Amino acid sequence: MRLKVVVDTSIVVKWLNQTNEKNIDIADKILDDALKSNIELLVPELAKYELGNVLLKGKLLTPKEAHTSLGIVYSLPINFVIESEDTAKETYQIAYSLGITYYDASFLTLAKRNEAVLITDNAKHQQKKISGLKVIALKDY
Amino acid sequence: MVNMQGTAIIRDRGQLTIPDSIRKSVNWVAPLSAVTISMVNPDEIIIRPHKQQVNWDQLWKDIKKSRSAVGKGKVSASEFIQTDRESH
Repeated sequence: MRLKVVVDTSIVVKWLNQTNEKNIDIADKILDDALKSNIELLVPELAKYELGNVLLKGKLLTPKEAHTSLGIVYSLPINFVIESEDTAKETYQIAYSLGITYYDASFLTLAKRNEAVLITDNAKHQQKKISGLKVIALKDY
Repeated sequence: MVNMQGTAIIRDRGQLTIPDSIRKSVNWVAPLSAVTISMVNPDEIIIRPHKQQVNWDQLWKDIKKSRSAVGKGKVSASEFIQTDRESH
């Protein structure tokens, strides 16, 4: 069985843009491992909206530039998972308990419920501990 | 492991309705979505999304092209996302 890996949007975005990004080569290794079918990538549906917003408001790309990047999002071998009511309640509990945003918690919940590893370049994830959940900083992958 | 269960009745010609609670939880159980159905045991059938073949050569080319777009915003995209999550 392939190892299930949840990647934070901070990783996915490195497959779209490299300006001022660190550890691009490590992010590419994750994708390469998916290519070799060593891992299965899972991401909350939320990531699509975050990616669209960072291209629009952060990178200030033109529509033409953004269309190439958005096309990649839908070509990547990622299973984007829609939130269910049960997942939402668990995410809220985690966010409340750890004092993090609901957005950050949604990645932890997805990893926990799928017995997956979370790989992230997000400091908020790396600072918080959940029993039974393995969180790996991108630089340590 | 996510563990959801629902009960459904198999109709004529093997037609089966996936329970609403399960359909709401996964985006690949949608009208006209292709699925792969495998019998793993005499009493167990697994339904998975049909995997589209990834054209890896094209994907890496597109990634290279996407990364070449600098944009007017000089921020780190990954740092922007962290900040963005805190700002709502």
